[in-house]
Amino acid sequence: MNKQFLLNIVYILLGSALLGISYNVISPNGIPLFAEKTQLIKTGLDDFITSPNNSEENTAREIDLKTAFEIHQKGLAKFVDGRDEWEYGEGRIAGAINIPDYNFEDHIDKYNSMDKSLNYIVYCGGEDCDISIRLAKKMKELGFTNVYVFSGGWDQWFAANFPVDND
Amino acid sequence: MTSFLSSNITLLVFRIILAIVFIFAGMEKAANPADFSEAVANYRVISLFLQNIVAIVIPWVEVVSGILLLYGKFLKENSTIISVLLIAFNILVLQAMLRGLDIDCGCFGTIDAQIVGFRKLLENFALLAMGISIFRFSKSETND
Repeated sequence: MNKQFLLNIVYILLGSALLGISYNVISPNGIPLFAEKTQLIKTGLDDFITSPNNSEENTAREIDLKTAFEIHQKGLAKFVDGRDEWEYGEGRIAGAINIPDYNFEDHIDKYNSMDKSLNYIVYCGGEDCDISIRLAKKMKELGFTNVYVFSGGWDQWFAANFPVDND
Repeated sequence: MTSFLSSNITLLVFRIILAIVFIFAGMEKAANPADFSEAVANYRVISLFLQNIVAIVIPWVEVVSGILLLYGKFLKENSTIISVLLIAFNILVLQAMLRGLDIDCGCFGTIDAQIVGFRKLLENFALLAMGISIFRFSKSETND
């Protein structure tokens, strides 16, 4: 492999990147260059208990690790793991059910028959994933009224040594 | 076999097939970066931060390499890029299969809802064989 060959590859890649980024700027379908996590409304335990219904809001509300643990201990909500079956099987918050986000549309009927007025806490891997936010949005669109996101997810829960299940 | 693969006609046919597949696939994805970004996310290997930039750039690498391949420019370079992409795609498909993800491959944007699986792997291997043949048997144009 000579140097010119590698340089040409770099030029082609850089040219393509430039074209892609330029097109993205002018295209009506353009997206942000770097995805950012959607900002959610933070909710404490008191708010959660007094007014769990947030169906009128565009985004789901968010709870932190401490609140998630208290809700879990008191049995105030069903926990929903939005990751795939494999990760769910490896380890999950104790008692959590699995609603994988990636094939949500394929199982709409099943989710439609769930009790939509219960409290649901959706989570995924941790701070770096947005599956829980996407899934919460889809659940709200389907008519679930009390959907919350635990954004610390599996990573925080596991690190805190809170109760878990696995297959 | 070698003489068949290295014949000008065969290489031309390979170039045209690869070029059409990559230009077509790239344009479909470039037109809807938000959909492709979600398809990228479904493979669960790239962080949220990088997901959009990958979804914006990769389709254009496919389009540009495809066009250059069609016009016979920098054949070795472009067949290398396309082969590396195909190897990467197959690793992604394979890991998704091993994890039991039945996700849309996102290969041609939203127009085909092809699920990742053995068929996809075989298609990619066939394209990869064409890419490697072009790399191996085409003349270097580096000094043009």
